[in-house]
Amino acid sequence: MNLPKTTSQNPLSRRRFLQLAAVAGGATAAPFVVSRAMDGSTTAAAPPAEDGSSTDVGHPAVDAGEDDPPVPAPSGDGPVLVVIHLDGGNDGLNTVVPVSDSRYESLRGAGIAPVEALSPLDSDFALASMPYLAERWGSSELAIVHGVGVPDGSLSHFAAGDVWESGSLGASLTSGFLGRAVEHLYGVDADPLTGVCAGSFSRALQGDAWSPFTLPSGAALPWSAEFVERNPGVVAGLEHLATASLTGLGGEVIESHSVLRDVGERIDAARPDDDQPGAGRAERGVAQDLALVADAINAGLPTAVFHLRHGGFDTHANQLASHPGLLLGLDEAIAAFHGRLGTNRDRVVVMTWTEFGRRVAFNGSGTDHGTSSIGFVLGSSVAGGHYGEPPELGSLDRAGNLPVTTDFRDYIAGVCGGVLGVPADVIAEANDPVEVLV
Amino acid sequence: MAETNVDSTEENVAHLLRRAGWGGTPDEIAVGAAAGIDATIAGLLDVDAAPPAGDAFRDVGLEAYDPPDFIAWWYRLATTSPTPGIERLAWFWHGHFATGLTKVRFPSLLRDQLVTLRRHGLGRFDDLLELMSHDAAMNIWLDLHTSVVGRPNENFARELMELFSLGVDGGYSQTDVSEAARAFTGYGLRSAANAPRRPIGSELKPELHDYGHKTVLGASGDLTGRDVIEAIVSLPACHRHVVRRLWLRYAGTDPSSETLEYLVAEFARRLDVGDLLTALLTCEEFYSEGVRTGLVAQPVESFVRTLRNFEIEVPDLTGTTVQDAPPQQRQAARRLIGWSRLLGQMPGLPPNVAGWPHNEGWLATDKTAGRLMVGVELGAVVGGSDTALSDELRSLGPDELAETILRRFGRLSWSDATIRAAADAAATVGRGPESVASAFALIFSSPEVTLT
Repeated sequence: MNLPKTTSQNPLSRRRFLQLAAVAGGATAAPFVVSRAMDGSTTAAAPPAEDGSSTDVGHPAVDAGEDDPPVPAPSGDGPVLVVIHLDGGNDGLNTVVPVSDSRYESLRGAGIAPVEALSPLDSDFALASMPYLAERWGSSELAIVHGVGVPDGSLSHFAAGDVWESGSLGASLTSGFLGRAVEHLYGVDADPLTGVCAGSFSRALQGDAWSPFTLPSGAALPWSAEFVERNPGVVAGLEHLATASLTGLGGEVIESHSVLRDVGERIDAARPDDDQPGAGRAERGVAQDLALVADAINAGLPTAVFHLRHGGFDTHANQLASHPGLLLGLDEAIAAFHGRLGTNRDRVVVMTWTEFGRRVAFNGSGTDHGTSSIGFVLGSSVAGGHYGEPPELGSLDRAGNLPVTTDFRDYIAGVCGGVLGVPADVIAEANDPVEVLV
Repeated sequence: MAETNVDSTEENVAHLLRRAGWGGTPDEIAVGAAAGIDATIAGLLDVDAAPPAGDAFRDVGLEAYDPPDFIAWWYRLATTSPTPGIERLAWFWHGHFATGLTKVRFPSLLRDQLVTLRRHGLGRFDDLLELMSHDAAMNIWLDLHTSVVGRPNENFARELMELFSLGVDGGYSQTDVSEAARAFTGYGLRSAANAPRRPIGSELKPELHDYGHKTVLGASGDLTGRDVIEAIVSLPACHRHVVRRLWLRYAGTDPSSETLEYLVAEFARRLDVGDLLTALLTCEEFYSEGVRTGLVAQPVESFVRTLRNFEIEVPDLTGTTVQDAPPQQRQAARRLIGWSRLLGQMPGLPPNVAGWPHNEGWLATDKTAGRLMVGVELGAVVGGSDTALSDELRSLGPDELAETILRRFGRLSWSDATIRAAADAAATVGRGPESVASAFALIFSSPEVTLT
């Protein structure tokens, strides 16, 4: 290749260089941000203070080279948004059930939600298989947003999921709606822990140049004190590798090692002492991921937004056997999450999204892809109640789908903008943001 | 068949073997360079040389549903097969048709699907689509077995167009999907005579098929599933989609428009996947710098290469299951599956119907963490095994050790940083098992092994 090599004479720090290169070269590069000096001399970062306060701006572990300013990050005691993707397309009709509308039973037939699992909310609606959320509704902490969906949206999981995660109907954006909020607040130099994907990566948290940290489910992290002690050769090799100047995908591999080291050390330092593997934690799934999130919040990690997935909602078949369990699993996970958070619960707002709802007609075993669904927003700062127009069961489209009454952009821009203190138009092109906070 | 103008250097042959097979050992690379690129490709794509996949694990049916039986069988086949090119292509199709045990539930049915992909993966694409539309695992995965006249289920018809053949912008409409769904109604599961709840295949039940008039992509009449497939494969959007999918997984970045048009023309001639793959592997662009540095390995690919080239044995579970195997084999199978899980990818368990991510999706921090953790554990195996290879490695000093391990990974060119980091890792601990383990773990996590 004829490109000039980048050498140590480059006046820019490596981090700056990569960021500028990413901006100039388009967002496909999406490099990971190095947030500590990797000169091989710092094998142990100073641990954060017991109360987590030093995880604020200027934490020793995030002091990069001399030329670099401190890494911007949230304070660790402000509002936290926890976003849960109900992956597969949740059936809104069998989640918030329109019990007073006789057309529900006549259109759904054998596919109605099991009556014994319903918690009445008011004279018109009941919540299916979610007793804890029904209790929060009673305390006016649960907002139910009706008819949320993509106007004239695709019925493909991936096209619809893409539109939701990007927060835009156009195909030109590579960033996600949460990633843009982070960049607006803290810039492209933000600490990678500002936004955390718990369990698996989501594009919703990808910025234009900033990338979130993805926390592996359950597994022990490299760069914990134990890892370093057990693997001196590997550590020495990785410290050498960190000085490599590679471009393209190879450079991204090096960057992801650097980010891994930084966050691995900080998360290790933030873990509660009594936390034996598995103790007090669910084994898998959204409950396990929410427990990790609770520990991170309790430890004061500088994270403003978490994104998680709860999968299995693509209920084309056997819906009556699977869907109630999915809702109950989420409900129990949120109840345990609130318990684990203690008083920190008041700082946290949980919101859900799903790529689309399901067809109104039952296909004999389940429901096919549909249009609008339900959004939940939960927290003590939320003004509980119904938001948006419940879709009319009498006005289905030609394919037999519900109308979209709340544009998904109004939902994400209103809720996320409100919680994080970001102008709605940074998050999405919204006409009428849904404002749910007290 | 297309022939290449590219020189048969060891460097080029190593690249070919990494992308179109599992990656060569130093001996295999030397043999390939002596035979030449065209002969090496012919060997990689020789479906007649592929042995039968075997009966493998004992089919215990739904009562003991266990993905590990399938996963262990798959790794055994992938690592021991004398035709890595055929296994690599079946793996590509497994990602393309991305069928998962979470819903299929019967490991034997997914094994049958893999056997079909091995045998027919180099044949005509329309035949392959038709085979998949009758495949029992696919029928369960995309709900075809519940799709009957009057109550068609759109899941298969949609993914057939969106994922398998035309692409999301492939020019079909919701009406095409709904009408195609009617054409695929009536395929039910066929059960074993002595076990009515255990499906062993799929069959058309005429009384459940919709014989009415349908219109799909401009074709009208009492269309069958085959008719719909023929309408699809006549479209240029289908040819481009298949070429792009294959290029994406074998080459990485977008092809130049010249290469794309050339490959589309080669494929459109007979809809023959063998024609297309041969054209792809012989074209000059496949050996360009951009392609060489433009593809992140799927974790399973670098994992199989490691198991194979470092002679880490995968247990043979023929006639048994992971659960019922002798303790040593059971433990080895579980360890193998645990590594695959940590790397973020398990055969038979794609994350969703679109299959596994591409390139940057594998560079997220959790994947890097997984590679590092697995590298440390594999390193301990390579450093501590009772084999001639491990004996040899344990006897080497840091520089020679690093060089020997690097060559075993099937690549000739390495960055100075990786070479020196591997030697550093080896030198930090004294000569012996730990030195081998450290150098191995470092190299397994390096940019060159993460890419392919």
